[in-house]
Amino acid sequence: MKFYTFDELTYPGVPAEIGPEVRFTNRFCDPSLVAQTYQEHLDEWAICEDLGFDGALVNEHHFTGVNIQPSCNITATAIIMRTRRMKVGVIGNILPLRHPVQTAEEFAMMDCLSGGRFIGGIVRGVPYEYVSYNVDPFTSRERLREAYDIIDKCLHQEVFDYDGKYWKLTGVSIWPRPIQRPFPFWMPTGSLETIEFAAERRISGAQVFYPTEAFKDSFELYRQVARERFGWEPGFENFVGARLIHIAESNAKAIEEAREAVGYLLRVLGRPLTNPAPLPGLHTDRSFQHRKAVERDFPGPHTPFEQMRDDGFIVCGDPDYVTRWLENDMKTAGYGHFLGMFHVGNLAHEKVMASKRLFADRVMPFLRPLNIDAAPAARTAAPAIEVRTSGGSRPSRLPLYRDFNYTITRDSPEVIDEFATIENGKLVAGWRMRTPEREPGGFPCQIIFAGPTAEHRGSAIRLSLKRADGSDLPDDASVIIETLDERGGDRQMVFQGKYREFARIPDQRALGEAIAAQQRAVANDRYLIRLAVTLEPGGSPPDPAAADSFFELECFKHWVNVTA
Amino acid sequence: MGAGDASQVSRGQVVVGDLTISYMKGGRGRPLLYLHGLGGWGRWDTFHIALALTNTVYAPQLPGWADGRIPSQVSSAADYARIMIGFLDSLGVTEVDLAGHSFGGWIALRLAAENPARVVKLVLLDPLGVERPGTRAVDLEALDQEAFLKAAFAQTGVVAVRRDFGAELEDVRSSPEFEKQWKSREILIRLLRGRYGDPDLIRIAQKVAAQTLIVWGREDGLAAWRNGEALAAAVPHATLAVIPGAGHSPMRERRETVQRIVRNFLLGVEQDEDPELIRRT
Repeated sequence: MKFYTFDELTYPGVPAEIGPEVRFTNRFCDPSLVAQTYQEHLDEWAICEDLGFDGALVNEHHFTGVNIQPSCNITATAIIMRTRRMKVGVIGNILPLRHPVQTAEEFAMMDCLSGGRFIGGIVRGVPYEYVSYNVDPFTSRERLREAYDIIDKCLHQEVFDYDGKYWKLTGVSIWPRPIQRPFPFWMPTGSLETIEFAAERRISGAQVFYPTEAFKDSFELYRQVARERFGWEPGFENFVGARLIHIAESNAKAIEEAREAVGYLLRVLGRPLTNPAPLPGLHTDRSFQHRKAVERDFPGPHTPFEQMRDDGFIVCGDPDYVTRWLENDMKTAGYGHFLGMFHVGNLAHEKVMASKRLFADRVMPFLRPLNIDAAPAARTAAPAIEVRTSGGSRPSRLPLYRDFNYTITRDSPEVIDEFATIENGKLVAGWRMRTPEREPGGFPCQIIFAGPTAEHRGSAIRLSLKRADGSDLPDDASVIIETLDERGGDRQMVFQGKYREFARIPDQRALGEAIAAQQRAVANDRYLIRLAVTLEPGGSPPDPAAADSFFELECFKHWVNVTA
Repeated sequence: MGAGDASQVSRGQVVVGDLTISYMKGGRGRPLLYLHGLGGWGRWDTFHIALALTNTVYAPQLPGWADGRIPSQVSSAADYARIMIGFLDSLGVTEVDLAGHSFGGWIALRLAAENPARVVKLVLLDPLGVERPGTRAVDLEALDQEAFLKAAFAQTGVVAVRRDFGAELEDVRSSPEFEKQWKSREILIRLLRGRYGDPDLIRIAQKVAAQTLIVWGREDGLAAWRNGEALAAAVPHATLAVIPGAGHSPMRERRETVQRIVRNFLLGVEQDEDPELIRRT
């Protein structure tokens, strides 16, 4: 079992006397009390590292005193800066209401800031957030799916484009990229649809507030869906159980302290600003059919505290009681990460600190051995980026340079002429090209042929030159492609070899089949590019103007100062 | 359209002839007239919000429903249909989407049949009044409270009603919803005076020009879903969705399913619910 502190960060100063007729706006928020509350919570998170916890998690909500972290990435960063060892995570960012690229960028930043200690979390948000953000709740699952897809690509792919319903992106390659690969994700998995979503993507599933049996129903369904539909077996480490928790020296004291704090939490929770009726569209009628006892899943306004305690909405008592209650919960529900929500409602700071110390000293050690996966869990997906190894006996063939944005052909405006002459007693034929001085926009331009690197073997070159009578050139004809400054001086070789290298490829346009440039060459403005084939005299002369003669030079056309 | 627009409700009154009609209004987009049924009127409910995510919803209270005193000029669904045309006129609304539940569905059907140019899309939820050949509409007066309960609701015991956070237990028998429906039954008995069916309805349904969605709770004991089949066969462009596990108010008993079917219909997108639920005609 791994142990974390998890915190809603509830504002503690909501007066008791606000009636339901009063709009619960931020006039009830005192920023100086917020400042003090932040400092207390930071201390409560930081102490967990010394107490031997495995991590600290936070989450975000909007427009409410229940949670005053509208961006929990900021609080997570604050925790990262006050810790060195333990994990720090969010559970999570409300994806349908955020820009996914910025979310991914912040995840990557936090992963690097923490040295690879970060856990990314995603959530769909709660009804009143959709009201005030004015988002159609019926689109929330689609938005979550798309946003996660984009975040996943941001964190695992070098560069990508995306054409979605809600986001259309071009050339995304985030800096920094994260340390952890694959990147760990957690999310609450209550409804059937979310379980299906998470199981397909191997995102660890979390449950909060509900009774043990409801946790069990959800985790069992997740296991079943993962096994039967997606062919993998989740371990304990794929499941996260979160509960309000308060420990004191005696049961009576713990109950007394927690009763008021839970009452405060429920009172503030029941105060959305605008929500006349249950919001449609966030769930379906099948969402919770797997729950065997849905009526006891979340306390209503009249639920007795004793029932909340029995059901585990809050686990509170002396260390023995809490140990026994959690042992049963963990064994029955089968999760491997426990998130203790120690700061219940408006519970006083010193009581939270005392409760955490008791937990670390007298509860954690007994529960530690529970629910540990025998072998490394199945969660570890194959790395998204292919790792290439050099050496070995297998011949490795790098791909062609992929990021070309221009191809020079016989029909390109760069082509000056075709030529077929005799030089030094040999037949020389080919094409001459010239980098334009200025593009229509007035900017100077370069043509760059990419040479081989560790990632690719260079720009593609395709060539076929026929004789005037239609017959082929001899295999030992030589091919030279070079760039020359027409003012003299600079001369760079792009390719030098035999014609047979081109001739033996059945289809030069087939994926990855073309010959590649041998070295990088840059043709600045007013440079000549020359493609010349040389052969012994005799036979029909080579004819670059023949219908079947062609060449293609893939390159990168670079406009200088375009962004000035 | 977002949940913010759909959650905001304003209330107004218009005068139609010598009747004053109260209404709720919310949402954005093409106007939609929603005519309540046995569940009555008063609260901007989940189903209103769902409709208001795609349309500007006008939800009037049927005259007489506030205190049970039926105006003298009203004695049938057809009378209400004429009054509702006056209601739209006084709002300056010409073309509407139209949805009606229960008795409101009966009114909606008459309205759409008699004013085909004004209704773009029509949604009927368990409309009363339909009589197939050889059958009679249910006699509301003959039902005592227990029989009415069983006819109106698929589940009559304690049910878990989902709220925004978790669920709330509700005994259907003692719920405010049942109380409202039972009271509405009294109003209908006084209004209809034994004429619970309209033998003409199937015939005039053929005049409906609107794209029509007919939603019916399979366990509805006040109006059998077979009536929906007959209606779907009569209306020229109709789709029938029969909802298992729901009685006379499927948008309450299978809330999310019905919301999605109605929404997809109003948006004109492919239905993504259980294909067995939807029958096209």
